[in-house]
Amino acid sequence: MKRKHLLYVIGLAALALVLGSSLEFRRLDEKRAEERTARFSPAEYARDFWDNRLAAVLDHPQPADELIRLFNTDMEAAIAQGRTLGHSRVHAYLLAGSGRVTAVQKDGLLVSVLADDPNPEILLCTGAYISGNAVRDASGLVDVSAFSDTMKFNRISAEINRIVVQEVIAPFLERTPQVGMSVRFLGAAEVAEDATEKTPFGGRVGATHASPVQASWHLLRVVPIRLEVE
Amino acid sequence: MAKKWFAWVVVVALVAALAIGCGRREQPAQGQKKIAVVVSTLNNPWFVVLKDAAKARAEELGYKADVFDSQNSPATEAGHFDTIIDGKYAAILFNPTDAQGSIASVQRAKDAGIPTFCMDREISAGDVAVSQILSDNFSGCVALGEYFVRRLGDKGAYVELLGLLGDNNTKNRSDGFHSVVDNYPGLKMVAQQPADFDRTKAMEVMESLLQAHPDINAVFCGNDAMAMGAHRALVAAGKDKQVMVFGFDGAKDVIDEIRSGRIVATGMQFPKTMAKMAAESADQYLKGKRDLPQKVPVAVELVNAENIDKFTAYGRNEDPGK
Repeated sequence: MKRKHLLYVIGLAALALVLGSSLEFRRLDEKRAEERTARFSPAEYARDFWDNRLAAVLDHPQPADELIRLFNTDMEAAIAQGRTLGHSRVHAYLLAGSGRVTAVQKDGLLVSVLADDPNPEILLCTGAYISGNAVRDASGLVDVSAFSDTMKFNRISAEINRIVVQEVIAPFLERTPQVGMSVRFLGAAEVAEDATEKTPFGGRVGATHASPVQASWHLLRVVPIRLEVE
Repeated sequence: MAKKWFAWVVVVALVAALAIGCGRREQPAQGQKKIAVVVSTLNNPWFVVLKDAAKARAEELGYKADVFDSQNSPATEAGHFDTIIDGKYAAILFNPTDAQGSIASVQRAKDAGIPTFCMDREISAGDVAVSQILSDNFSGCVALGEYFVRRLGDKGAYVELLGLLGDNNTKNRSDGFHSVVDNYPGLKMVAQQPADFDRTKAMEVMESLLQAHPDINAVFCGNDAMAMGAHRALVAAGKDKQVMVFGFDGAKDVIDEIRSGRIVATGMQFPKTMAKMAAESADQYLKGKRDLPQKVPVAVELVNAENIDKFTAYGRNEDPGK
């Protein structure tokens, strides 16, 4: 009888050993996070970012007029206020303000936000498509290290930009923006250090005696997150 | 019989001499740690710059640095990792051949207690290498795509030469470019073919593409070696004035060609910066620092005739280390 018990114990121990080595115990939330990463959908990620996460960082955007003045007077201080992805000379900002539309172009509205200057300082993007990472990077909410490969990280911006076009720009354009109209915006901008070193925002670039009509304004390109007619 | 023995002895001696010769690396000084610099290929000058910068910085930091050329072969690369693990290297500065295929080698090194730091190219895993210092290829090609549209207008036909299909950089560059250009229905891509980041292959591919599509306006190339190959084919076909060439890398010959107006633009990567950052990360890790970021994108900057004076080969004028 004792021998039979011993055999059962050995049998059970062997079974436990076999099962133990073929099973893996892990935390459920870790496993779910892993599954989410494996079936990564940039569209779903962007939707969640836009609907549930972005609002939390929109409470304190930088005043657009103050940021432009800072860039035009103390570029280093302005750069220090931006967010930088990795090692880069491009810095991203969340900014808000209001201004007067001075021109309506295919790619956006030229807007003057400085009260003492009638020239436009901002290109408010309202074109048919938007490129770049302004909203993703200015929000500071998306960490590249959280992605197993950078392709996933990159596709997020394309999807966020698509939401901006469909849900911010399209309804705004129904109001048919015109020169002289006042607009209020909250948006994101990317600024390359080189772009600001010679010409201030709102200054003329490219004008020569030979081709004065080629001149254009040096503009801060803003991707709107909220946009309305005042 | 004696002759046969003699022949065997000679063969064995030759094989042994070869093995010893090939495997011989300068011995490190007493107590000096060794760092392995594993580079996907040394056939492309861009990777030679990456390798030289990584080796130089590792040596400046007091390590003995040995270089391993994977010759674009994941199998050769895996063999290097065996040598590195057996050789008890302290860390690996790694430029992978394949985003997926190279993961297993890095995992083996990790299991053996050797940390890996990727440079320029990534592996598609977030917890195997200690840190990955990567070119922000996608954003760089967004800027190139925007300039491409500016130069071509919103109408024209173009071809695209892709790099190695298994490399994430190939996909990121192409995706970044198309995220802009595909928004212009008047810009038609009439062909898209791989040329494996190789100058000679790009020349051959371009020659055959020009026969099928003689009226193209531009070619977008996933690296500068291919841009040079494509340019050579265009010159041979007498179409170099008609077709605009866009590259990616910031290699010396393309910077010179942009300066002389023969190539339109490239995306400047910073191989010296990435190599230096990887070597410094390895040094910090070996000295106990553990909170290193998993991925550090390094921005790629658009270089064209308007800003060429700010750049030199593989970096900016003002700081050769950048």
